[in-house]
Amino acid sequence: MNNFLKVAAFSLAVIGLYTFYSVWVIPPINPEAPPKEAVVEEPATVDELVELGESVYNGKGACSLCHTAAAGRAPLLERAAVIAGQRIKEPGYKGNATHAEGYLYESLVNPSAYVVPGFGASGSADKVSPMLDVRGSSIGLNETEIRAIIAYLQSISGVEVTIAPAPTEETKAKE
Amino acid sequence: MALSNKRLSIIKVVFSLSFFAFLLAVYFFASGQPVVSAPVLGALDYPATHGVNRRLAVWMAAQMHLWFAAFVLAVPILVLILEFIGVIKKDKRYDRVACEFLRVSITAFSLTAITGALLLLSLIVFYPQLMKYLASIFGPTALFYALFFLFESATLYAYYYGWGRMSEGSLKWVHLLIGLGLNTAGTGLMFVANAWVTFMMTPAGVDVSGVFNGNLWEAVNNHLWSPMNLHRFIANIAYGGSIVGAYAAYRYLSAANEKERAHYDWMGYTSSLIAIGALLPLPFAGYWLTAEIYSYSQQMGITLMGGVFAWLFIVQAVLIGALFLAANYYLWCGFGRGSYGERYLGYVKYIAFVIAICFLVWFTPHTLILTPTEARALGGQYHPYLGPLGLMPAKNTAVNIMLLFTFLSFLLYRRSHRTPTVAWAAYGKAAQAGLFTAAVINITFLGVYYGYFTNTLYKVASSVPQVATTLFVIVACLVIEAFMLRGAERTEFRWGRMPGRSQYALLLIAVSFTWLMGLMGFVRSAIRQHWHVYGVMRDASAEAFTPSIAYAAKVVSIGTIIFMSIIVFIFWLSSAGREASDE
Repeated sequence: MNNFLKVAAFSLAVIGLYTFYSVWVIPPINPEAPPKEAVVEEPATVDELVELGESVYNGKGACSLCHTAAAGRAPLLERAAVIAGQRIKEPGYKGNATHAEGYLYESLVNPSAYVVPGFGASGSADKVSPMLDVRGSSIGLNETEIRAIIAYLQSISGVEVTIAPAPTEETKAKE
Repeated sequence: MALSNKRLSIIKVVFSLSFFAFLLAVYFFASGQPVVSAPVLGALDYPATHGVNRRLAVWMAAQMHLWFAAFVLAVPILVLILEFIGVIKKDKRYDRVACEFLRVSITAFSLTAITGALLLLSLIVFYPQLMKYLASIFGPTALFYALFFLFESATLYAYYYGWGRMSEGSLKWVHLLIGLGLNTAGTGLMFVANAWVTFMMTPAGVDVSGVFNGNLWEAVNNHLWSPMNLHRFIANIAYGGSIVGAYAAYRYLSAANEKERAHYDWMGYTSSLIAIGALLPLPFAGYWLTAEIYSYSQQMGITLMGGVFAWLFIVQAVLIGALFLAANYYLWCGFGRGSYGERYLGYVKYIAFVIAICFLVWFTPHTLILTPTEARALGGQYHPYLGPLGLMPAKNTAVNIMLLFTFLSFLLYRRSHRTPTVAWAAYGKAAQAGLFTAAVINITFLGVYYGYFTNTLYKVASSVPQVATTLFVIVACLVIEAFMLRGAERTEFRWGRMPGRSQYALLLIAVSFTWLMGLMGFVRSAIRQHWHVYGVMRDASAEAFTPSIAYAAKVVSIGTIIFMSIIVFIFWLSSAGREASDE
């Protein structure tokens, strides 16, 4: 019985130490609450579209998880819209885009169409992108959000934002 | 006592058959369901639970089931290996200890079935839509599960109750074959269950709009299925060895005489050797698992390693550090079993120093939690010099060197009662020392190169050559050692000559393993975040939030206490049964 008590006390002490360390020693980090599935309203102006793009880029789209210098997992996108125009003219480009905007769209929904050298999935010789189609999986962007991201990328690249807000019933009627 | 044993057997059979029937019901329910797209759930899709926290209930049931399942899957593997060694070496000691291992686990089989049924029931009651969706894809696998379960139960009872009757001649080989069948069925069961779990993390055959249009094999053979199968298979062996080691430690401390003490010392050593042996390749299986997570979704990988769970790996480092230190301490205490042990005691402080340094490297966090003032003073969230120690190449370096030095402790332990007498012994020792030195240099070089001079995407690439180096040196040294110790001079070696405190190292290993399994099980599941099936079926229940590490630690601790209490009860039952049969 004496041994049983010693062993039980020892085991409880070990469990207690691990609990103490995990609860009180390491920094308390509370994960964010699940994102709300808000219905995205079609922005009325280009500025609103860019603003939506920025929030999707840093939030729901999770783009900034990889496309940052600190993460270093994916190409930086500060000049993406400028580079896009040059890339489609390169001989190595085998995608279907014919203009910069189309290249950005293609990169979001079919990332393996062109993989920037050095950023391919492991063992794929830069033929397969580790990025998923942003319309599926856990990201699940809709067309408005994808267009907003392209507008945001054009905006931070310093080129003209060619994405226009989709016409509403009101604007259609005016036309 | 005989009557109560009989009653116990009847209860076991009833529970087993009930579970089997339950699985068949799931199969027939599922087989009639057409393949559907993942439903978009609302709060009303979850039945009211009247004060019961549904996620906590499922979590606890799943965790209990996993602990018991790990134990009962592992023990027959150990038993089969020991029985086989006993047959080859014609040493009855192995046979006796194998049978005792199996006796310890036999009650746990029923508890595994009970907790499994509890888990299934709680999932169906609390998450009916999720189960309906999974069953629509995996329904036919329930039949395989049920058949494996039936076959496992049949072979288990034949294996256990046939031990005495099939102990000699060709019948012994038949008995070994039954053991092989038992293990095959157990492993098959685990593989089927893993398919469901891994599909929830990395669903395959699902199109971009969430409709499952793949075939069953595609769903089963998803990104994580194979690495998870391997990881759990190895981890179960390590876990089973550690639990049996704890049993032996307790019996050693309570032994009434020298003979009993020697027996349980040998049992503790054998089981801990199996546990530590399985622990060595476990980090490598873990790398594969993690690499596949990244390969499936970088977002999920970053959530795991670089997001809110980054600090969980610091807790993991503490636990694994404790495991390694305890394992080494046990081996160092074992030097006392042989007469030559003392001559190696001088090396202990150096090995301990290296392991402590490795532990500190593993323990170093990458992202520091700082106040804005501290961050400004430091120039960012990463320490300029210690920051890279938080990256995978540094951790890989630390764990590989830790493994090598643990192996060194084992080599010294083996020499504690043997002195090589072959003419080339000096060269053999020099070759081993050379291999060790070259390995440490190579592993460190790879860690520094990938840690400081490559971009993030390729940092994890250090793991394969580092692992290859470690494994090569371990195998090469063992081969040299085996040839070098042929005809070695042996001195007195006595089982049972271990200080009582050494047994607490075995207990520490078992408790730490249990806690660690709970913690890592939590993070594996938690990286799905607010998804039932990642990216396909969102969790809309009130409990969809991701728990903090502190919350998880409390749940894991309570679970560990409950599980360990039941295990102690099982040990007591086993002892009582043995005493009754001895009488």
